[in-house]
Amino acid sequence: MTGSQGWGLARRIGFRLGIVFGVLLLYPFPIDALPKADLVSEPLRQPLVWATAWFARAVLGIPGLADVSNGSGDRTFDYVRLLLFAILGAIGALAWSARSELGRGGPRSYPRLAAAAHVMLRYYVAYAMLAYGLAKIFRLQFPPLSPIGLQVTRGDSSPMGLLWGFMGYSGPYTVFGGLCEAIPGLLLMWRRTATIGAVVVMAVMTNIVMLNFSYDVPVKLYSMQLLVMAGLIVLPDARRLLAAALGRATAEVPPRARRTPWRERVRLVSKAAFLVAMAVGLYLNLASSPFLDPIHEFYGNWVVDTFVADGVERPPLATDPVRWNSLSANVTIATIWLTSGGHEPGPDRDHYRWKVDEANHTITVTVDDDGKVKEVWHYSHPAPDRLVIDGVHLGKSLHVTLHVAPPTRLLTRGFHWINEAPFNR
Amino acid sequence: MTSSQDWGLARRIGFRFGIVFGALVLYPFPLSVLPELDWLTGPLHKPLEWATLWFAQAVLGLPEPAIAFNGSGDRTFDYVQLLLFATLGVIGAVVWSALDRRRSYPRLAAAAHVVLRYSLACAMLSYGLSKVFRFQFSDLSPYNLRTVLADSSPMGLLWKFMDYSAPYTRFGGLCEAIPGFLLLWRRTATIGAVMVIAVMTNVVMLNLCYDVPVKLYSTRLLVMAGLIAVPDARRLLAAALGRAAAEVPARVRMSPRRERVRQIAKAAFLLAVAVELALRFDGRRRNDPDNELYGNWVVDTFSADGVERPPLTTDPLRWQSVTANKTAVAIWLMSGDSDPPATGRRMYPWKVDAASHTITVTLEKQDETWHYARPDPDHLVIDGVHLGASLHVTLHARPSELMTRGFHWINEKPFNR
Repeated sequence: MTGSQGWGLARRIGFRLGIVFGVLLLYPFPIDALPKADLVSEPLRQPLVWATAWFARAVLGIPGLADVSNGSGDRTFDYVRLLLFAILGAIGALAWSARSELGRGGPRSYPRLAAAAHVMLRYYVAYAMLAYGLAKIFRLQFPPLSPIGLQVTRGDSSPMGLLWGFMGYSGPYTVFGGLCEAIPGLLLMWRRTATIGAVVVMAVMTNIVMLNFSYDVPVKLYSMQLLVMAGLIVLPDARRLLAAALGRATAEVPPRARRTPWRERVRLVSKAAFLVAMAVGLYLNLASSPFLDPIHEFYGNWVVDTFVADGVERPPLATDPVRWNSLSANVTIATIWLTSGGHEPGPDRDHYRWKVDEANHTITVTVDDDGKVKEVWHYSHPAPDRLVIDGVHLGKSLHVTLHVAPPTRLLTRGFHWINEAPFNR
Repeated sequence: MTSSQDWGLARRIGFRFGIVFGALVLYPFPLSVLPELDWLTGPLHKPLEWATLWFAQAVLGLPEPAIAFNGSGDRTFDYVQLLLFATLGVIGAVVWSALDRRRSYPRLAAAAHVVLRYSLACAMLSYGLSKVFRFQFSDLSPYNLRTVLADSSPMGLLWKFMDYSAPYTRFGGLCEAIPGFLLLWRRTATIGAVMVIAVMTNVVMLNLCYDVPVKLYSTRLLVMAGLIAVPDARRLLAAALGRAAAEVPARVRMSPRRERVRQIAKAAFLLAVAVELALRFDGRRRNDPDNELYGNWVVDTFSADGVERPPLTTDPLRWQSVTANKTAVAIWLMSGDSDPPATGRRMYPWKVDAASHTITVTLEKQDETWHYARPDPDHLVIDGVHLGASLHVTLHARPSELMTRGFHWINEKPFNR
């Protein structure tokens, strides 16, 4: 990529396309990797959001596209933006090539621009891999399996939920997965180790792309983008690496040309400053994550013993649309499994946001989707495995006694060096 | 490993240990990967089995460990055998070192490298193909769809996660089979071994984290891949760090006649391994017949001896739902949902005969024959005598979110539940 000879026509045009397309795709990196930069990076992003919405409406005839962030990277908006960037890249490459190729004495290769693009790619992928890796190591991306997650049947899971439950179960495996992303991310920060880092990223991201395609995880476009970028980082070294792996001799890569000592020092200081800023940004992102909320005193699964509504005890009849069968108490949400449910979807399972106040023994439950209708329940803990809830719920005055659900097979199994037989249930 | 200079003392002793230990671990390879040789490898295994049992009882004072094959590779027997082999390896290395004055073993090392390559290749091909052809992980059954994660074991969690996705299972299989294939040729062996290191690191971690009793064997394969890559490791690392790397000297050719014999022997061996894999996978093909009731059914009404029983969760008799697998049925009782599932669930082998609309259920003491009707595809009516009670049960089909979701290029939002 940094060869000093003239490039072929196809390579020149392809390179120009890649530069224009890549700039649009990465923009406004590295500003968005710095701490507290939302103030700057969000307004910088807006023109591209407007352009995409306009392109969708005026050219493709798709009205009302907005860049609402909800965790999906495979929205219609994202596909339209990709198409827009590809078209702008093609137009840009055409205009640029027309200027350079038709005029006399235009450049025949772009070694310095290619080297700069290589550095940009390295840092971009490094930042993404570190962010994803740390989110796994600190168990933010895959939090431990919650009480609700434990009580959902596989048939009622979505494919993505199946993957999340699988990862959420194992802290060690999730941390391992995070290290497989964070370590190559670190290696990408230095020129010498960048190729090893990029090869490891290719292995890891191939697996993740396959997971995303196979388990309906809407990060297909972004994971493929990272995989392609890792491939581009390896490209200049690919031939040498393959030759060495096949047992052939390989030449040394010429060291980077040094500049004046003063400029080298500026480079070093700015690199160090950038890395520190990036580290601070990553730390602030982690520290502000809502998943770090502490669990409350009755986090877990509870089985209803008696259920009294408006003073009348209701027997556990599966046709009763009101009586509760059990309660899954997560940190910020709860699921009430109705006796009429039997793991049926729809109205037989109620899902609410809630907030437990241990000091006052109250639970504030949000019962509507808009977050406007709230109920305050009281609870007491006669014994560690007993729970009593009193409150008005959907117009009925409830008195519910519950006992803690028995320990689960999944969470009590633990690690075994010796297995006389497989335990596969 | 094939350098002609003298080796250091530590390397010589370590090498001798590795040869003795490795020969014991791999024995009776390559007979174990050739077709139709069970009659031979079985008896050949016996002496090591006896030695291990003797060692466990006489030396370690353990009760006789079970040796029946049950899918676990981490039984007490396996740990004892590993310890025995390590002990024999140490004794062998000490005796060998005392008797032998040689300073290096380039030819033996080269031969060991070849044996490692082929035995690892066979293991990776076998594991890979059993994933590609969906033997190791097969389709999720209705029963698996009906159970909650809490009632799985960790190994069950991993198995059902893989079962769900045929594309991902096949991808995992290719990640094992392709490097296995690359290991069969000297030139491509290093690339294959490096890929195996990446893939098996993941498999070892899965086995450790999800209670899969293949910890010892998967670790062994990982170590073998490492040993295969060792002679080239320094060159590869240098190349990856941007330094120059020398050429690996070409293999010394033997006489043309011996080269031809070598080539024919290799071709014959590869063919035999291919035949063995084909026979094994063909024999394991599952032919369980699908039945037309396959799926999950929720009970709408339930009459026993002419009396309809309301859906009370305290009723010990009334059914809540029925899970129809291919060769077994699970009946979930009303009283079951909040209890440990063993008490609220009955499982029986069954056979569905679509022609006569009958179901034969095998209980411990006798068979029961039920009749069924399908008023429409989503409804089922079962009539029959079950455990002495004459039952009339109406049910409706319960589709699964998981199996109906499918692939989506566009997701306006994540669907994660």
